[in-house]
Amino acid sequence: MKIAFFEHERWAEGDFLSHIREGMKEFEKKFGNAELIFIEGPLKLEHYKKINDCGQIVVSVNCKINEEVLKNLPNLKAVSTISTGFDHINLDDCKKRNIPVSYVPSYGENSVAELAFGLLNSISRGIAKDSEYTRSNGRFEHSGTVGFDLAGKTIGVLGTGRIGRFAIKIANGYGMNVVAYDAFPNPKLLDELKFKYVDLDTLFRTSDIITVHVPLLKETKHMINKDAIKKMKHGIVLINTSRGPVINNEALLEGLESGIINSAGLDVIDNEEMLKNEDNDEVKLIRKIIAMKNVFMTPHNGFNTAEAIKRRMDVIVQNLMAAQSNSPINIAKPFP
Amino acid sequence: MGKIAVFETDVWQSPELIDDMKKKLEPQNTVVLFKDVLKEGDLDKIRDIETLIVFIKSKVTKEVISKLPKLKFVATMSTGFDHIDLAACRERNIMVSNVPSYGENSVAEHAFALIVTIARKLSEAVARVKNGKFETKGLCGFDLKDKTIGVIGTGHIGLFSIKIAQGYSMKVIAYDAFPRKDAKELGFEYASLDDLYQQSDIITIHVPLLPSTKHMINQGSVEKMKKGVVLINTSRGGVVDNDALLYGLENRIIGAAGLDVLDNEECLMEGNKCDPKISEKLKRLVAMKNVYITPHNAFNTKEAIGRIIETTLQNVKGFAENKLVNIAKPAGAK
Repeated sequence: MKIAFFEHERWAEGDFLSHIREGMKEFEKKFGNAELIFIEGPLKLEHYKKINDCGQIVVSVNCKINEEVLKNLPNLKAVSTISTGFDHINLDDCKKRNIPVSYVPSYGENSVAELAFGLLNSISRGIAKDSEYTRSNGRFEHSGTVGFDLAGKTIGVLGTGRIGRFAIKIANGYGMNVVAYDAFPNPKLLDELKFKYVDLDTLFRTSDIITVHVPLLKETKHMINKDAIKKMKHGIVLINTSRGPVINNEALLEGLESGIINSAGLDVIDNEEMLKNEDNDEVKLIRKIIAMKNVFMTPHNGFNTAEAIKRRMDVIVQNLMAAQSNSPINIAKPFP
Repeated sequence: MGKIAVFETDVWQSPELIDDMKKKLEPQNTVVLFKDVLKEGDLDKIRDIETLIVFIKSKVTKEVISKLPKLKFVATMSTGFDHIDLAACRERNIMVSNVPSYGENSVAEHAFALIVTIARKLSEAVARVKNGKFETKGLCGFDLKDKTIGVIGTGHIGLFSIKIAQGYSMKVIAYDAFPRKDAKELGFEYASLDDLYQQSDIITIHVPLLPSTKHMINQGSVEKMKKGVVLINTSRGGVVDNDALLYGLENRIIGAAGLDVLDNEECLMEGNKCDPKISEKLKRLVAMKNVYITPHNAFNTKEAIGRIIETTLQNVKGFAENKLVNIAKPAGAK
């Protein structure tokens, strides 16, 4: 039986591939030999010949799965995505063909929240710029960087799922005031964490910093648009480590140019997949945003820690085994 | 009516705050501002001052005060006062005040800014995207959650670091020559220095510079550390011996270092002449890929500068009204 892993370069470097090969030994013990095919980048037409008899495929966020793909994989039993989000997979199309979709519900809520605060704290203290300056010039001189404190600032956390609540915990440690918004508030969280739920407008109006931790859904697509930004405090710091399309790029650019957004820390950006090989107006817009002095962007790297990758591979192996024995676990379901 | 000289005003990069400070001092005093460090050539210009306000790079030595016959009060706008000869001041009956806590959070936040930058390879990641590459290859970092952080020094700044570390769900162990009694309530444990070196994945230093802490981190301590440890210093450069740092980095005991201060950091500033051997080592250190250096900037936030100025004004007022506050005392003194 064949199992194909796509976009493995995004989530598994060096040793980690041997970690998954190791993990798959358990799979093989139960189901017999499996041919593991590792393919760089998302699924493309040219791959079908090699994988059209695949029993299962493992994909990442740039790999779109829909009827077009499914009809070319007649033996496909199940799809696993190595991500927490599954907006790249058309669940309806999979359902019609009775193909279960498994995801990894939690492997790195702390890793993503830690990157959000990494971006924030690096921005608040100008670390990237100052350390590069010292290294390249060999000079130990004041660089003109006057930072700002996090303690005492108000941070608005959009989304209080697994990642958002970890972000709240970190913010509590920094001594920040935390306000949060979620379409489905979870009052139990108030017992262990210091924050309060507010409506979206209040969050926009009162936050010095906003960090986004919502999944990408119809309701959250371009949730941060021009109207939202107009409501924000002047000089806000905006952090997005969730999904790019939650923020509208034109609105982001306008916010940055007008000074409403003082700086942005982004691990994701709407249409980031276009950066690979296209050159259109949208790509120009993205490049313009990235080039701005007050924009700090990492390449969708929130999940990328040694610990998170290992946790995630362990879940993937479990998902593949469960699907193989026709009792899939961690099933991706449309949001209510 | 006294005369006041303020040095190193450029450090603050906030001319409006300094102007405001000057205005607040002026009703009772004549105020002279100097942008740079106190130098020998300045002493003639300030011969008749009663109050001297400095930051960390102006050395207030026995020699300096001997040239300032009317000097009665030194206010340093820093927490540390290792640049001031307290004994010489005492001999002349010159009072010294410091700013005991203006930015425990600012310095601790800076320590964590260095930690997260290292943990997630942020400098490389940001530079890569700026250069038009949106790829994760080679950017695999490490989690902070469940890592053990060793906090050396549990004063104001160390305690704030502990609080931040707990937010990240790290395990905290700490060392202090004078342990606090409320560690348990604060959720951390004290350990011996040796245990701290052996167990910590990350070490952050928050001790003052004293004869007893000078080169506290030496080759012997580095040899005891866990392989791959991340070493953070936002306290004073003199606490870490540069030779030991180079030894640890070159032998890969220290996986990465985040430093806001360096022993002999002044050798990397323009116009300073230093022993070429010292300068050569510093240059090697600074150029290393896994060393992240910021220019003694941990105190430098808008909010902290506001608090520093406010406290310094209170110190000057206290001296004028004969109700001295924030007196700088040698460590261990009551």
